[in-house]
Amino acid sequence: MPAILEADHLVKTYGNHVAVDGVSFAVEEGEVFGLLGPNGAGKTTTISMLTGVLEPTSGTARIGGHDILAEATEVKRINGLVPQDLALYPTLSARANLQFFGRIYGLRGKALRERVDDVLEIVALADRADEAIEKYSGGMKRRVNIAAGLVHQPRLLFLDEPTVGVDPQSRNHIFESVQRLNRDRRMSIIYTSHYMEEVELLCNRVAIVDQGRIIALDTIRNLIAILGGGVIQIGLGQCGDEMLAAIRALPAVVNAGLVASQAPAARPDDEAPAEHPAAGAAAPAASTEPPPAGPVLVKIETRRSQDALVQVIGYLNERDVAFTSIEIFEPNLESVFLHLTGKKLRE
Amino acid sequence: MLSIAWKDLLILAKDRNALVGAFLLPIVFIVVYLGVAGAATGGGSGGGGGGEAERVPLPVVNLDPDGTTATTLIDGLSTQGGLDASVYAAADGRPYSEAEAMAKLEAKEIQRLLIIPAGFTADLEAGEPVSIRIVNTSLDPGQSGAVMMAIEGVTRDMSLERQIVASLERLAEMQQANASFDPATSAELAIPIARRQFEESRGRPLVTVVQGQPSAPEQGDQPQVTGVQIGVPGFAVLFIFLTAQITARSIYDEKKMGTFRRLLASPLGKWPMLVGKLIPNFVIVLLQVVILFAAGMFLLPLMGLPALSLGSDIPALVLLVLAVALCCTTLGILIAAVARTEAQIGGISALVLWVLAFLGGSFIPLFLINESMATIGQVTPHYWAVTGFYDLLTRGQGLTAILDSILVLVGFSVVFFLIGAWRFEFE
Repeated sequence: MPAILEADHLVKTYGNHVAVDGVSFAVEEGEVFGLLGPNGAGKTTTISMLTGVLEPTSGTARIGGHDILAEATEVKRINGLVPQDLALYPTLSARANLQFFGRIYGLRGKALRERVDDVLEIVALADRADEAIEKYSGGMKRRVNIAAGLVHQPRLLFLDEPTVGVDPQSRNHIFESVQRLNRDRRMSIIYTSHYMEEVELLCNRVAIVDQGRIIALDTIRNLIAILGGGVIQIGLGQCGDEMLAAIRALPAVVNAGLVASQAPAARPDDEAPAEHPAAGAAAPAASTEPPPAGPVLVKIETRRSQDALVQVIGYLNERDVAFTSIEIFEPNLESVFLHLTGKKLRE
Repeated sequence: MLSIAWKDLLILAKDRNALVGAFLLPIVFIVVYLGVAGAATGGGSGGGGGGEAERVPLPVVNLDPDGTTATTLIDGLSTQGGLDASVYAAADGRPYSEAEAMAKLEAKEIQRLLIIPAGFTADLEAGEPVSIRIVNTSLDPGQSGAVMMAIEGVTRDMSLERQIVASLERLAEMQQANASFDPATSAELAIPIARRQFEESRGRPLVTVVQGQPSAPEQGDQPQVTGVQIGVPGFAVLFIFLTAQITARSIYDEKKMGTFRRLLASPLGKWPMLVGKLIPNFVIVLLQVVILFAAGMFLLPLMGLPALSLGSDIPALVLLVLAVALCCTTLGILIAAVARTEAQIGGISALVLWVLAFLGGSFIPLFLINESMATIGQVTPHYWAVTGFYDLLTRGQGLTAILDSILVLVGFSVVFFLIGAWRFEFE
């Protein structure tokens, strides 16, 4: 599959703050590509640069074979943007909004009318198209928001957190629309979200973004495989080197270490936990440094979380060690993110 | 670009508050203000503030410099008429020609000019009627009326004197022609002759005073100075510039709603997008002027106020309105670029615009206050807009007289646009 998008070391800084820090990735034609990361990770800024809303501080990208800086107009005709905000004119009807967004892409007359009717059908709002948007429910507004990004038939659609504040029914409708656009119209889609369920449902490949950098990029299956059988996070009153080594030695355990935020700074030659090759330059989430005295949080990567849980608890009981908390993360993107960053997606 | 303009006009058409603020409020304001103030100043109530103690200057172009009667007239205007009349001369004492003096008048260096024609003295001595011309650009009706009365009073005295002298001269001629003339009967003869001369002078005064215009005198009479002629253009300028907030608010709303991102992501380009955002403001200003002036012409007379006159040079008026619309619209871009919050656009910019309107003479014409206020007012676009409208609508002048206003307004527009574009944050 040829790449419809190739981002090459995109950087965006605001004064001393680095919002996007050398992001590079490629999206294949016809692919649904996810950008997964917490709020403030740099997803929207990345999309803004790719859609011509922001100028990169450095780096560039090619979309449909055109450079986003040198051939911005051509690139903008290929792109469709559905911003996170409800970027619509509330006093105008859905039809008037869509007609306007069609016109600014050069659509006129019959072609415009047909395109507007088409996207109204896609988002299932044809019967209420002439009502002012301010009278719509939140979910309906979201659907018009998506339709406005589709009206000029983009080859590459950017959906930036399209389900924020949406009721479950409308969310399902949005998912179906995305899947239909990709399946029936071969539309390439870049989907940003901090909801791992959405990304898992819709995307072929995912880039996990944190603090302006891509820390992992692969298919969802491969990313989840990083974790093997899931992750257990357990709070202990104290945990020495010997205890960590013993936990690592349990049959169902792949690796164990202190959660990065509680561990001393890792040295460059530290042994990183088992990590998928696709995980790029991910920071180690657990440390093998001598553990501090006092309460700690231990992260345990498992072959199978239920087996590992039984073995770990058995080991702790044998030594009469009390645990203060225990949390099981089944193998999914959430636990991958936790594994890679030491943080939860929605922290 | 036109798509954006059309969309903004559609949004505006659905925004009742904006429509009321742009069109209805100015009409109500003008009607209430003029009605309550009873400001139909045609009767002279609007003028002359503080001028009684000072002698009103009256520059004179004397085209009959060697004529004794012309000199007597100028002296008489000062001694009898209470004016400060003198030959209008350059700093080196050289009297200005009529053309030079008219140019000074059009440049607003002087407010009125008296022109004594060549042969004034000779014609009067020959008993031929003569005309002197007063050209007035002052909108102060009290002062202008006082000057006119003084000139007419002095010239009437001169006419009477001249005609009494003529009657006596005729009596002397009769005496010389008749050797048997009895001096005892001279008074009986003289009185009817003098009465006849006096009656003639009433019907056919020797010296008539003609009011002229500084430019395009062929285009008709100067409109009467009324509160409507002063108030409508002044308040129109106030409310026109208040619409600058419409552009600023529209851009702010686009940014707040996120549609600005969508526009930036479209192939439109930044500058066509910005120009598209300006067009609706421009259109609204044009509509405002049409509606407010129409209200001045047709609505105010229904309320017993004088009708607004649009002057005699409509093409010049159109040019001035376009310049004002451009200036106001570019001011909107500047506000949008500088204001960071809704409060800054709504409250602070409105306050600034009201203060500028006051300084620029939208509320009270600056010629009724003092010269220093007029000087301060010149730094505001309002001043040049108001002055341009006064020149056309109230002074009855033409394009030449308002060229300076148009150029300054276009200059303001360029400055506003450049600063606005420089400071505008697309990101």
